Amino acid sequence: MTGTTDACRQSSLPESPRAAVTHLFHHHYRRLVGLAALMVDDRETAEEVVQGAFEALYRNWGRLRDPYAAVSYLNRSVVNGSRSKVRRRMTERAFDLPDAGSAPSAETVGLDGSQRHELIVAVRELPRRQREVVVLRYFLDLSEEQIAEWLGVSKGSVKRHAFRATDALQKRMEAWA
Amino acid sequence: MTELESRLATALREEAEELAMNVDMRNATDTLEDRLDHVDRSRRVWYVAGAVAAAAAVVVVGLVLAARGPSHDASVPPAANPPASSAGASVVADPFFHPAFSAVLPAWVTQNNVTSHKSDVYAWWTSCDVPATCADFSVSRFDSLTADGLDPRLTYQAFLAHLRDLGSKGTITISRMTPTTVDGHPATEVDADSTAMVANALGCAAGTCQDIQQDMSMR
Repeated sequence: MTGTTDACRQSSLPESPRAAVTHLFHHHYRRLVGLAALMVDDRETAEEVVQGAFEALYRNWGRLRDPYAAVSYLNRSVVNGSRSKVRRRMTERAFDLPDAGSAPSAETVGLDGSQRHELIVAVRELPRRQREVVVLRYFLDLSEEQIAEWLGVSKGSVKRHAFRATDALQKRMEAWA
Repeated sequence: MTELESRLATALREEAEELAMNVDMRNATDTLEDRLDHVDRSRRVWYVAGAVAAAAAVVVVGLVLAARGPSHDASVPPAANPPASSAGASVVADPFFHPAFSAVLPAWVTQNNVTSHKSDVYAWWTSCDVPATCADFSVSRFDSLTADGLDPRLTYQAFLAHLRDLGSKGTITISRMTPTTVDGHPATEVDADSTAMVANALGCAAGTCQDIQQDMSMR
């Protein structure tokens, strides 16, 4: 759902690296900003991370074995960049909860607005590693093996973080009911 | 997928869409164009530098051959050129940081991709030269602890004792503690891992007390 290699193949990439990167930018920028924003909380930082990922993609275009793997590269690059920002921010200052401007509005639709708001706030309050696992598992649809590889931890560690996260979120939901 | 997982996936997707909805694509495209222009310019600089170096090498070889002249014995193979030295480790000194320090970055960190961010409490460098992999190097200055139950006037020796105590209790696993000096000040290199977050175990930087974190090795 989040842009796969197959989806990328469906629209042919221009041959010039710069045109190809620009093409990918127009097709994936918003989605990647959404992904980064789930991890870093504010849109400005998220955009900075995603811009950096596209710049890195352009810089390393010649090293890509398959240009159609660029979307996977971007996903991973955005996740790495977001994690780096969060770690840096933890060194700088306490991790702020998002301000009112980036929090979901009361008029949110889809899930019941207030339920979604509560769920997203609960996700943001999870410990950093648990939150990363939740976003990679339920937003990017990655498997436990892939998450373990991306985060550089064992599969058992991913299972543990996922269990703790869903357990905590389940308890929060039961408390609301 | 359980009901919770299903609701979680939906909530995350809707939240991401909403956060991305307000993106100004025109402004974002302009920013990207600027960044790609910058990459192109820096590439040209490297190409020019490479061409100049190659030209200089050709001139030097020409001069050496000319100096040898006709007496040069063609049967003697020319001395092999020394192997090109691998990119040397770069030494970075940070004038803003107090106390001042210099850091030796690994040789595989290409200087052109290293960004230095400086303040008087932390400095870091990021290299994303390997596709999709970033490495962070940082130096932080931690002030005395203000964590629960710890004396904010904690001394250096007391902090080391605190870390050893955490190690003896099994809260953290210390694999190395080596005394050293930094700019003449006594210091200790510590390698430690933890399976759980140890709140406020490191100290305070920029007003924030730091944790030892699980799944992250600390040195």
